Amino acid sequence: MSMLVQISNLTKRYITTTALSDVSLEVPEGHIMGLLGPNGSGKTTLMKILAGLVSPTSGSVLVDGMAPGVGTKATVSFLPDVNHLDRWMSVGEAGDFYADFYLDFDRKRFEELLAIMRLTAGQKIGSLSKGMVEKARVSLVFSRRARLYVLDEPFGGLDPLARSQVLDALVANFRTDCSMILSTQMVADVERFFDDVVFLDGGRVVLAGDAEDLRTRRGASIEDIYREVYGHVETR
Amino acid sequence: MWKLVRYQLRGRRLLYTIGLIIMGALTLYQATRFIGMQENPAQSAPVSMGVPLTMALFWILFYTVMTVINIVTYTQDLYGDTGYLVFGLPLRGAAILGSRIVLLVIDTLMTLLGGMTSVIVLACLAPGLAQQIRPWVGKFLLTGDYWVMCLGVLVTIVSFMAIMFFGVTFGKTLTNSKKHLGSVFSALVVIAVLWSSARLGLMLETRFNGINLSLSPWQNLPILGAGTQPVQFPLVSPLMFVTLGVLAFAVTSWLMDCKLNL
Repeated sequence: MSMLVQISNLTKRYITTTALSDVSLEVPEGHIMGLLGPNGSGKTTLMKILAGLVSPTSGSVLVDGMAPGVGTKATVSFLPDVNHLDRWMSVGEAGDFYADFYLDFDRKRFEELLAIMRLTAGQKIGSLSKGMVEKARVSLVFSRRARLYVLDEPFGGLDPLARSQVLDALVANFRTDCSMILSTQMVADVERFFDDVVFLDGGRVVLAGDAEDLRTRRGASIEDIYREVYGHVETR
Repeated sequence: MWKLVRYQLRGRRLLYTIGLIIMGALTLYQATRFIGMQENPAQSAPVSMGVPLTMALFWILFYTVMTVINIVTYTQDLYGDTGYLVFGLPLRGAAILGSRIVLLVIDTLMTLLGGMTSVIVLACLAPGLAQQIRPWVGKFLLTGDYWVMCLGVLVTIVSFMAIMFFGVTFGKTLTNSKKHLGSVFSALVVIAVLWSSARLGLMLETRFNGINLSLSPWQNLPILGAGTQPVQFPLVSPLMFVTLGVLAFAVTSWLMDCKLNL
């Protein structure tokens, strides 16, 4: 099984804090990995490094055999945890933007996803509700035939119906020749999709492994293991 | 890079439209000040000279606002959420920064052409001034030295902005996500670079005294009186400033590629 993501001894230090410390992990092709941890555990920093938006302090990161940079940005589809789209854009213009810059953007799939999400191309990003913006962003990210999908809190601000629409899109668009790294606090909703899970705390990997193995070995769901690992940190 | 320029222009279409409508309306308003005035130069001279000059000042203000918007939007991309869109693109830092420079050149050319048109139109309508200006407009627009001067101004502005972009980017790489601290660092970097370049420029001008570019940009506007006299433009310090701008561009591109932490 080929590894799409290989991270070894990754450390990221800022001036006063260490966001990631000696992190090593691998994501095989065709796997969905859950990246779990409380706020400030280093999930977003790790995802930004994979997306080529943050430079590592030390250690090695390879995405599809390449160090993060211009090359990997063309193959990694990143969904940040905030609205990254310009407010002046319409949903259709955002699609045009992606189509112009990402060769793997599938316009037909984008139109299908917009229909599923009940969005229209003419709607302005600036006039959409938070949940609708989230659906537009998810549609854009999944319309790319990327090798690696990196999704940071894709369910934030979504109502239960929208959440199920996004989950459906996630499942329907996943291929065996790609991988996905998904960070979420809504563990119960998505744990059934995880092939692997990594628990981060204070920038370190505290627990990692095959999701099914962990469930069997510990006789508990991933959400319960989450509660166990992080004590009384509440999951939604 | 050009695709990014196209999108950024699209994002600014409302701003450009509003800005140009305001400038057009101001030109029209200024033109109405000539209504009812006599063709007597002695009586109309203060208004006739004052109106085109005031309009030129309005265009300078317009350009200042556009320049501030350029810096603010770049800072927002570095510190704000839209940075994920721009810096997440499979483009090198040089292409992203290059698109900003192209936008700046477009703003400069738009101001230059809009400002010239507006001022020339007002001068050609100004009672007492129009008779003297009109025969010379065509010749003035074909004055090579004037356009050389404009090109020099454009290159200097682009270099200045490259240094500003460098300051903002360097401040960001030093302070990560701390916006206010980053702004202070950026300002300090820009001040330090400009101060050093001014000192170095003065030193170089003293060392290479006499290396000037002699231009007569106003030679075809004899109404200005001193138009026939060539103007001496220092050459060494602007060249050094442009070199600094190129250096700032290269270092900023490298910072974007290798050191940026969004």
